Amino acid sequence: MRWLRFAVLVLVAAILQTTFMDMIWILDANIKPDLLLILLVFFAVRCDPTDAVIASFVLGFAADLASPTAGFMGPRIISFGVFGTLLNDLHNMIAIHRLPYQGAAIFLMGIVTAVASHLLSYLRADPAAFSIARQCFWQPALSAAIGPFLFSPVGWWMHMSESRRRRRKH
Amino acid sequence: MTRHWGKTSKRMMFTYFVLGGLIFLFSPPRLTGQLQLAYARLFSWPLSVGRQVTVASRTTEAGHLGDYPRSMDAHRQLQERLAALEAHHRKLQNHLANREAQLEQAQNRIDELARLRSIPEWDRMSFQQAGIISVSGQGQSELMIDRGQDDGLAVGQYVLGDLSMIGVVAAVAAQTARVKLISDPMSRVPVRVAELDARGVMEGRGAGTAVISQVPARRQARPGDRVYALNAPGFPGIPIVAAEVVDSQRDPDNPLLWRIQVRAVCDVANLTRVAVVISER
Repeated sequence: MRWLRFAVLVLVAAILQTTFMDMIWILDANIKPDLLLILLVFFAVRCDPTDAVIASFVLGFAADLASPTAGFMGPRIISFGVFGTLLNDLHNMIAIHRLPYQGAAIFLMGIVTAVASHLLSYLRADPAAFSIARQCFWQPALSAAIGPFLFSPVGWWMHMSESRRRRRKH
Repeated sequence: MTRHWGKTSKRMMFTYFVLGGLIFLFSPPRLTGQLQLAYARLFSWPLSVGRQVTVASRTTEAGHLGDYPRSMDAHRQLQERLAALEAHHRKLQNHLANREAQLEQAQNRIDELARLRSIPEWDRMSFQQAGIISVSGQGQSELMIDRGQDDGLAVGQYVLGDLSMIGVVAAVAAQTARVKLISDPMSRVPVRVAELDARGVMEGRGAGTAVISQVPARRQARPGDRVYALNAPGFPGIPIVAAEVVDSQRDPDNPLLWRIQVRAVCDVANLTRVAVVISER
């Protein structure tokens, strides 16, 4: 894993998420693709187990830092970290190589991380109103539609192509 | 580095990170807020540039590069002019609402004290203009601004946008600050519904909306009625329009009281600058 490239990628994604992503929305200005979620799935399915754990928690940290939930951090660190690790474990049993499967993985991860973050927010305070349609369907769906097409450029940047990973496993 | 991490098992690393996440979760918001402010300060340039581009893209039609027919160009110009006029109209409406509240207050003073203080209330305020670095939070209910402690900002100060009250300074660093909007679920602002002359506490509900619970009023609030933010520590003591009534219903627990749903009068998504009320002169 090239950690310097990873840090630059996460930083750029966090900045884009809070700025230019506001231009890409459907139906509602709050429904936009989640770049950090897409990266979470990418690293969960392409990294070694230990690297996947680190990458998942760091992406959660970046998500909480760039777009804090009700003024405190933590819900997305934990939800991204836990579900990113689980997806990595799952990927070792079920291969997620094809675009539709990658899209489905992003969609499901979007739902479970949104629900988990919302539930964790209850530990600290009364969180923001939870829009099931927006956070559990539209946002993950938009991320799932765009995400798989970002895997190639991200893989090129991280020098982590799918074929290289398959070769390493064999 | 990877070799060093390789010595720690995946399970132990996962446990450490979960513990770290829990520490962050239960840390005081003041500490985590400092981290968020440091991030906003460190990357203020790309964040503010991105924000300006986003706002500009909302006010102009995508893809107009001079290749459209003349009629399309004229249409675009008219739409831009309409958008500018609508923004100006909204600003003037808020200004008018503020002035009406001040007039009413001044008339009450005349009646009660039989003397008139002719100092306009707005002149007693001192403002600090600030640019918006980013909009964050669930339901876009927080702002990062490019002014901080060095510019006289402090926690609790009211923040104005388009001449209406939009939120309160929640955390300050040396050169940046975080503003909690009135729609933030943690926001609690004392308010008065002008037409009912009833007071209450406005609680944010996200996505530009808020609720005033348990309002003692004889009649139902009508959609469009103005809601004014009342005195708060460090605030000069005059009402400033903050929201307008969307709907109202009787409180299910106590039918004598009302539950009023309101919407912020300022469209934060299109704001690029705000003003922070510093103190009385």
